[in-house]
Amino acid sequence: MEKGYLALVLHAHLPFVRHPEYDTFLEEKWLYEAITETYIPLIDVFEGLVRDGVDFRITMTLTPPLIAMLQDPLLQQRYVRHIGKLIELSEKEIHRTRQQPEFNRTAVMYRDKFRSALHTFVDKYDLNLIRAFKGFQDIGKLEIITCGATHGFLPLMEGVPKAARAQVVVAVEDYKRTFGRAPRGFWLPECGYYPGVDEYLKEAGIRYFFTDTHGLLYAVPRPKYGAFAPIYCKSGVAAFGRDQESSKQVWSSEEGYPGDYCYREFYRDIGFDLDMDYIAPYIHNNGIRIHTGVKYYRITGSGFGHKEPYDHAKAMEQAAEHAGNFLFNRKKQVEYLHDAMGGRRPIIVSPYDAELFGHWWYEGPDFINYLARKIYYDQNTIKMITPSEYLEIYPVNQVATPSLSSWGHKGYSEVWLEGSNDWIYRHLHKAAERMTELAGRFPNAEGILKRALNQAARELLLLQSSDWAFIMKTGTMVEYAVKRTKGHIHGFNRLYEEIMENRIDEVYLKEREWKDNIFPDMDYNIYL
Amino acid sequence: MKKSELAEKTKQELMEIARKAGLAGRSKMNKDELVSSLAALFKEKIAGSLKKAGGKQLVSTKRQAATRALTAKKAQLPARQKIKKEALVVLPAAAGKAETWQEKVEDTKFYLGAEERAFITDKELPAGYGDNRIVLMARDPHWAYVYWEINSSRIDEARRNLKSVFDKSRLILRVYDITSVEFDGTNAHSCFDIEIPNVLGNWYVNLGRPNMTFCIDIGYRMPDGGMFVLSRSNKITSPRGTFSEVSDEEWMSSEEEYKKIYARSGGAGYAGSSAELAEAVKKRLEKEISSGSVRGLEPKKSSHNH
Repeated sequence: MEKGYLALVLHAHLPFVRHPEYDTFLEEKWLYEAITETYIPLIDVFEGLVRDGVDFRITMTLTPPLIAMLQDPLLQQRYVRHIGKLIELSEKEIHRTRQQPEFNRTAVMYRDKFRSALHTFVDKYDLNLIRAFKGFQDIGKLEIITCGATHGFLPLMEGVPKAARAQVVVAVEDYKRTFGRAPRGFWLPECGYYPGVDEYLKEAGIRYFFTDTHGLLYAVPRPKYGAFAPIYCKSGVAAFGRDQESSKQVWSSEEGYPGDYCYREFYRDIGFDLDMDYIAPYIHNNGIRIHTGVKYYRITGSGFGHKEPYDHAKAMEQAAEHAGNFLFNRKKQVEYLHDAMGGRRPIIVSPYDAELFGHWWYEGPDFINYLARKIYYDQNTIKMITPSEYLEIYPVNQVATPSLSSWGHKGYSEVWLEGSNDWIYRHLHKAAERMTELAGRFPNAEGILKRALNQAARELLLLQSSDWAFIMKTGTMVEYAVKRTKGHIHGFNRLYEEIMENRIDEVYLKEREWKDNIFPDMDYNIYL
Repeated sequence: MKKSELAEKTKQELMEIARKAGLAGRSKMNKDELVSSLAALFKEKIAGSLKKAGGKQLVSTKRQAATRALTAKKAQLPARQKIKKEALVVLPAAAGKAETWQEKVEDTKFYLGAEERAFITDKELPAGYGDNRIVLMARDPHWAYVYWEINSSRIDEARRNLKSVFDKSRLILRVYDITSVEFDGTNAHSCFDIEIPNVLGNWYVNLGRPNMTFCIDIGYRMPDGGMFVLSRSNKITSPRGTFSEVSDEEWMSSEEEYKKIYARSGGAGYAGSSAELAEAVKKRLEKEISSGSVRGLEPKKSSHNH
């Protein structure tokens, strides 16, 4: 009999980026790269595990914006175009590197992977990867959970409770529409919890959510089992805490796996290394150099100095070894805790950004593959589990209130509230209050008024994505985040004024509906 | 890194270094500018680490940098001073994470290799909405952010009320500790004032105390110390910064068990790889657990029960 459980949680999210008004748009590449490097490789891993009869459990968030983008016909067509270009580039690369075997083998790898991605995307799942994930959920291997409707950071919405509640309700409704059943779990965006937000989860039928370690450790009263068993909030919703030890093994700059010298170097890309004449068709239009995804080097050593060619076979060996090391440490941990907890089987919750696997840590999906197989075949101490299953085994848990917390730097709200991004909150709060005002003033609207009210709600939700504040803070693609923030504030305010003054401009409304078409079933009355 | 070393790097490499170092305005720089800015930045960092100042109220935007000299004056209310137990050492929650790759990797999610590009400027956002309000937000166990907007009719009211004293009055934020009380304007445990330059603005306030309840009045402080309140903020409870002293009766277990599990789940992780911190956490736990006087000091917090 096993002595404890591992809940591997992958949080897949991208902000809603869709620009039908342009033929190509740089930031849409966030989605295309994540599809090629993370979502399809993960689907490949899951398919392989199922095919080989490996019983596994993974919990995975698919956020509403990501679901909307993966199901959007325009973006699906654009992805097909994108991967087509990559296949063409990799074929040229095989030719270009024909005299350099150390690079040529990697060029062949890319061509094969890109072709396979196209096949998976088009032939297997008919352009809609949600079908793939839903399939794994339907056979009980994957538990798909939902998240704030647009990944709004809830602790900074405490002052506008209707807006915080709407982030929950809209997401849960969207999930039901997509998956044909209610979600059991909820990923609080950025693990941002404040006491009381669980009431909205309870109301929406959610059974559990996650906090960072200190969210549970600092709970009142102090939880007996630390972060190794869930607690129930007073609302009855369970809170699971992130395990620090397993998280450190992946993230630590000294011991973390992704920085291994065998693994592929993220920052060296032929988008920058090759002549403009050659690479121009594969970077952004107007000759803006960007990453293509074709990278030939391994990390080799710290710094930007000399880099060795990437050896995929060797990197795979290393990924297998790291999976073995991860499992070894989890077993030790579980054995220790099982005794310390007096025979109760602990749950080790290991949540990660899904996009870590494959994008920056290129071999990440293979690591998950090896880990699931080793857990299944090589030992009996630990089993993979979903939080729902754990709650079925241990329905009785301590009652406590978690502490306000997040998984961002320093553990609270500072990432999303600091010098670079604090200017947004005056407007975010005002828009939220105005939305509630509108809902109160125009109940049961019909026709164009109803459409305008629903679009105002969409603009508000898109404005609340935590990604914009995060990007302003980290300094990558800031101009875009600022543009989006201002654009949604202006869009919301204009709709508000037109509605209040009874002069809705249908041309403008149509344009916003066409661009910001997330949540087709939006009902503004939730803001009441 | 020396200037000569920087000069040998490609522009892309320099951009990456600049990005990691958080160099402002890097996207608009050419290679030479990057080299000299980075060299200067590294020099400054070395000098800065030698004399790091702390404790000042941070100013939130560049626009306000000019007012940085204006530091907070702490005027403790003599009335109803509550004797505080010595604050527990705050576990540097997630401090170890600064040394990890998590931020870096999260950031690369949005990294396309492209440099910043300018967009056609949207029209500017409204500076304010003509409201009369002050909003307080918790940032972490020690700091809060506050923004405010006072409209002209409210200022006119103040002028009418204060008459000749108006010109001698100072615009201030008065920060109240209202933990466990129904605040009526007079019954705070303590308060302090911060002079502010403008009726439309924002500020980071060093509350300094986790797990306490605060609110802020904005108003004019008269020469005699009295105050004309323009607006009162919402109240917030600063997040907890450490373990609760309350342990549930029903789940009471041996202290040995606590130590084992807590050292394992909190100590090791947050300290990065530092064994010392794990040890420190354990020591503090032992102190907390063995010190009978600590238990039961947890104040009644309505905020945790809403």
